[in-house]
Amino acid sequence: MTAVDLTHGLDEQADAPIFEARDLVVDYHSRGQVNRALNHVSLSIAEGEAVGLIGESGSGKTTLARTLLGLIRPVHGQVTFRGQDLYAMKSIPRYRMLGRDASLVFQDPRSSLNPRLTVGAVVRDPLTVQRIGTRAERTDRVAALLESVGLPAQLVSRPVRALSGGQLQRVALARALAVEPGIIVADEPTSALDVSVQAQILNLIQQVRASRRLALLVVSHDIRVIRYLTDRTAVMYNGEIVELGSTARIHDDPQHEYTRTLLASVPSLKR
Amino acid sequence: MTVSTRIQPHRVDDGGGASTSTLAISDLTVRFPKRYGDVAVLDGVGLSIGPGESLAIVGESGCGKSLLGLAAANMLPPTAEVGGQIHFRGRDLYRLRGRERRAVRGAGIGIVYQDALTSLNPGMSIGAQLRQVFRLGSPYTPSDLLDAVGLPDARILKAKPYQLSGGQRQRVLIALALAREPDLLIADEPTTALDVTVEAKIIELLQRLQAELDFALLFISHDLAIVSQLCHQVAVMYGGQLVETGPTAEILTNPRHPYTAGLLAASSSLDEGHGTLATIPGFVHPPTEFPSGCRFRDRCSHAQDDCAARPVLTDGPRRLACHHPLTSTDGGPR
Ligand SMILES: Nc1ncnc2c1ncn2[C@@H]1O[C@H](COP(=O)(O)OP(=O)(O)OP(=O)(O)O)[C@@H](O)[C@H]1O
Ligand SMILES: Nc1ncnc2c1ncn2[C@@H]1O[C@H](COP(=O)(O)OP(=O)(O)OP(=O)(O)O)[C@@H](O)[C@H]1O
Ligand SMILES: [Mg+2]
Ligand SMILES: [Mg+2]
Repeated sequence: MTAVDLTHGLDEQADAPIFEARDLVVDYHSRGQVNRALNHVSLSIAEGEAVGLIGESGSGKTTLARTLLGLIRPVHGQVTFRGQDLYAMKSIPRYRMLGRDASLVFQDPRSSLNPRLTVGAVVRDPLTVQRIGTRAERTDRVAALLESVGLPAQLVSRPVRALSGGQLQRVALARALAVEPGIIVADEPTSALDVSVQAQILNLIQQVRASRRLALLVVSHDIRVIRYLTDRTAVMYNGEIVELGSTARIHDDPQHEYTRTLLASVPSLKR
Repeated sequence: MTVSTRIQPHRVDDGGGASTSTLAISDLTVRFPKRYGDVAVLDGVGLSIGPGESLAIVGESGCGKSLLGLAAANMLPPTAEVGGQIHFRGRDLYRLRGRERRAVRGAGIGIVYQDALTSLNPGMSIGAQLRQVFRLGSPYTPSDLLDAVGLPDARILKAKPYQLSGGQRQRVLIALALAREPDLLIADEPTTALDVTVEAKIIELLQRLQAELDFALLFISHDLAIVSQLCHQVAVMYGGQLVETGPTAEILTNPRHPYTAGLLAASSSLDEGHGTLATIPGFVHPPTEFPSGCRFRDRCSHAQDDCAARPVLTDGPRRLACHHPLTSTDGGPR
């Protein structure tokens, strides 16, 4: 492994961790070949903290996010969620615990939400699965959630397929917020959206975080999105975290060569 | 890749007088009668691109960018009803039949589709897919082609699409589109979802190949920053209509249409990166809910009563369709 000062980044977090990943190794197997997607990765996320994950395509960002969420068993290492060792738990209690407290938002809402369901059904689903509230309470909660993400109430009975991309990502966010999770993990939440709609969604995420304590792990290939949303950034390259520290520091004073290349490649209107 | 001799483009009359455009579109209208009745999903679009020139089409999702690209390649779905003219090297594209039509689609126009990552054959190795175009008359061997797009690795030839990263697949598609030295390359969002380092390489590659091969480039994107690096001219679309066109540098520094200014403000406020980001309120309506007159007017802070009548697109090097354009002192983003 490359020698990187990872303790520096760890010092900067104040609160107890909500997620803690220690020394994760994840391998994918295909046709007898082994592809190491995570190579001894450690990362912790404090309560209420926003962490960004940036890095080259194929560097393991999605794999790390999915491993944290209990979806990929690492061959080595440990993930704890609020102090509980995830992969020491049986899968049903594991999904139950995470389903109540950690939500996932995907890149492309059109392929991650069932197009035939109504908006109301999509947002209500996690409440039903987690048996939160009575029927009537769930209906009220769905209405409140749609309002909080800026969607008109009459959309509740519309099928998902009739919505624009930006509206859909709002629905995905309302769904993610339904269980009042401690953390949202968002994998490329705005890269399928236009700049104007992206700005609407980013504003919305900031607005939610200002109104309640919510930790965030954002995966993005756009450093501007990471810079806007997060306090700390982990830079991944080839299955490893090669740089970890405050987002401002990484932006102003990148240490790793890949981070420098990344920053130098950001297209800008100012030339 | 080296440049071979090419046929000089024919002169065409694209309505604005004789020119030597590779692609000249005038008054293009597309309807889907079954789905949207009489609404024109592309409405009176006119533009042209010459050899070595590059034109960007920008606008939010659903504004008709991909439809315009498909129309220019004569690849609209059969359910589309098309009006107006599209001339490719002086020939009316929609009057071509049989062999001629296939020749233009195969060799004259290269297209990188928006859903690029699914448009490679999943069961066939990259080498086999490249050999197919070679047999169809590409002057380049598969390894020439991969070299040209910066993928010299022999491993790539043997690989199936799923064994390549997103950026590698994207470059293979560009190689396929350029294999038969088209006079027109249509690239529909060829870099979305790639990380910026790969994106920068692809943009450089397009620039280099265009300088070498002198094709006309129709580049579809919603990313103004990328457009500003790659394209001479930009055409801003909203609701299937052109709202503002002109030289990229001018449009980006001095937008006159409130929609253009809104796109720019959203983009540059993310560049600055703090506070509440600038947005354009509302969203693009589906075609059946387009407002009459200016289709942007219900989202526009400058709109007044007269916007219920359709603004005319002016003529000249900078064209604009707006009753209440910004003056340069209104700024727009700095
Ligand atoms: N199901 C799978 N089977 C085999 N290999 C896989 C699988 N999923 C991912 N990989 C490989 O694991 C590595 C990491 O992939 P991952 O999806 O985590 O990358 P990423 O950083 O999210 O990339 P991107 O920015 O392109 O989304 C890549 O080399 C990828 O090809
Ligand atoms: N085959 C089709 N049949 C009916 N309507 C269509 C068809 N293709 C596109 N449309 C409609 O035409 C409009 C323009 O679509 P288009 O795909 O050109 O948008 P776009 O600007 O490329 O958007 P994006 O940025 O999302 O790719 C949309 O309202 C779309 O629903
Ligand atoms: Mg990923
Ligand atoms: Mg499109």
